[in-house]
Parts: sequence; C-alpha cells; structure tokens
Amino acid sequence: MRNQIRRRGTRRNPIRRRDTVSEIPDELLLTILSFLPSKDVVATSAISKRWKSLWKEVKTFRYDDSYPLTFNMFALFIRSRSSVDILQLKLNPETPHFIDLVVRRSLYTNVMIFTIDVPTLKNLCIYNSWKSRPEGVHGFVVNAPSLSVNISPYLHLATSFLFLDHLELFSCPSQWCNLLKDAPILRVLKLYQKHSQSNDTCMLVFE
Amino acid sequence: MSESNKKISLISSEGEAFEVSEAVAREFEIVAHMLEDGCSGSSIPITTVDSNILGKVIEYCTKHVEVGNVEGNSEKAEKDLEEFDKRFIAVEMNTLFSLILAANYLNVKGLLNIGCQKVADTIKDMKPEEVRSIFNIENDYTPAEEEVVRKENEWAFQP
Repeated sequence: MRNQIRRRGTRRNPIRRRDTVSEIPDELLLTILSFLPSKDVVATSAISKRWKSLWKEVKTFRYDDSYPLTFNMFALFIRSRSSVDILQLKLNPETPHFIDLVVRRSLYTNVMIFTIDVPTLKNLCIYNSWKSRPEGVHGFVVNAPSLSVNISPYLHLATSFLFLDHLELFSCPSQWCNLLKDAPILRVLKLYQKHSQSNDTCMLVFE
Repeated sequence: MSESNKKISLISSEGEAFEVSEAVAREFEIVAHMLEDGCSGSSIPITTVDSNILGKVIEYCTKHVEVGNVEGNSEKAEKDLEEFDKRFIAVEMNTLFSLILAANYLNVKGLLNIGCQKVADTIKDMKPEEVRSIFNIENDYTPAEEEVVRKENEWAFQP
C-alpha cells in the first residue's frame, strides 16, 4: 500500500506538482460548472481573470425559484451574455405560479433545447418560425401536467412545429398527437404519462 | 462473462509497474484503443500519471469491472457501487483534481463524471473568495476590476 499523501506542497513527484486548478484545462472546468446551479456558475466570474468569461461558455442554464430575479430577467441576462445551448425553466409547485408561457424563438437564436418544467402552466405558446430556427438539432422538453389542450395557443404549437427536431412531452393529453402531422422533420419524440393537480395565478412571458 | 486472463502492466510516471487484468486495463479507454489498434506488448507506459493516482484509478476500475461481472442482484450491486464511488471520491482537493486529470487523459468516463460532480458539490453555494481559497487560486483582479465584474453580474452575488 502506498503512503497517504500529505496535504499540500511538493509531495511525491516534484516535477509534476499539482497544487491548484491551474493545470485543469477550461474544457474540464466547464464540465464541473455544468453540474452547478446557474447562479453559482455566474458567480465564478469574480474568482479571477481566468474565470471572468469562462461561465459564458457553459451550454446549459437552469432557472430556479430561489434566484433573486424573475425568470424574464434571468433569461435576458443569460441570452445577452452567453452562448447558451440549453435553457431550463423548472419551478416548484408551491412557489409563484404562472399559467401562461410564451416562447419567442427568435429571441433565443442560440438556444438548442428549451426545457419547460412548470407544474402550474396552462397555456403554452411557442413561436418557432423558420427564421428563428437554429442550425442543427433543436427542440423543447415540456413537462407541464396542467397544460390544457382546448385553447387557442395550442394552435400556435401545432403550426410552429414545422421545423422541430426534438420534442419531449410529459403527461401529455392525447390530442397532442395531432401535432405530429405538422412536424415533418421531427426526429425525436418522447411521451411520458403522469398525473398531477394544479393551482393557478399569474402569467409569465418567456421572451 | 469470461474475460481473458491476460495481464497487462501499466507503468506510472515514476516507472512503477501495476499489473492488472486486461478487463481492468480496458476500462481505460485510451488503453482499449491501443489494444484494438493492435498495440501488443504487455506493458503500457502511462507517463503523465504518477503511481499514487494511477493506483487509485486502477482501484476504481477494478471495482467497477468486478461489479459488472456479477450476475443478478443488480440493485444491491448498484447501491454497493454507489457507496464505493462516494467513499472513493472523498479525497482532498489536490488529489481530486489529479484524479480528474488522469480520468480525462485515460478516458475513464465514470470516474471523470463523479470527480467533476464532487468538485461541483464542494463549491456549490460558495462565495468566490471561498472558491479561491479551496482551489488555491490567486485573485489577479484589482479591487476596481473585481467591482466591475460583480456589478455586471450583480444578481449572482446576492444571497
């Protein structure tokens, strides 16, 4: 058995000292950052010059109820500064409810995957036009068990999925299958069944 | 699942040889590729990884190969493995970074993943100054520069 190494300093091989993160390539730091809540990710900018813009390379950002700003402000902040690929919205059933969500694809030209996980959401409207479509695989992951289907914004969904590549729906009503005829290039479709009850209050626009 | 009994020696940066079964060596993707490319010979130099870290990576791979070979009772085995991973990765920061670097170089994905996750768990909810101290990072901002960065990203520094 080998000896336990000592805490710090020039232990073991003096030529290959590894005392700090300075040897860790950015690519690995980004992997580490991808496991952190987005607030912590952004806060790493104050560590040192090397970290100043590193966070902007992170590809996935998640919004969490506990953040001291609204989702709109969060989305605006992230979108204006980083090259985000995946934007996740995940809300607790207990905290500020909103029932309407509008996604204007054209404002998020970099975002490849939207994850919308909002238990109280009733209306979802996605403008996923030809012009705003990013290159390559893109799509939505929607988990909104309260989403109702007999409302007009649903039509927007159907017509706007023409260029959709990836769609995951949780606890989807059966009418959702009508979408398929309007999604000619859809490559990934995942459906999940689940039940939940809802509360309702305010409205939020994802733009 | 019969694996060949062939032994392979992995040589650390200090020249120390670690004899492992081929199945374990193949957990190092870099080694697996070498073997597939017809690189014969029973000893493979791992020049960028020292004995201490190489020993640990081998321990990790050995455990994962062992558990992978046990048939049935997969739930218990999985839990066992999780426990093992947890204990295995509970090391001080310098060792953790060395393990991550080695896992990255040798392409041991599972280890790389739990290593990065562990670092993230450690610095989660920490202030930048705390991260600096735990990572041993020198703050090369002037106070004025740091102020600008904090202003730019203000919300992220609020409690």
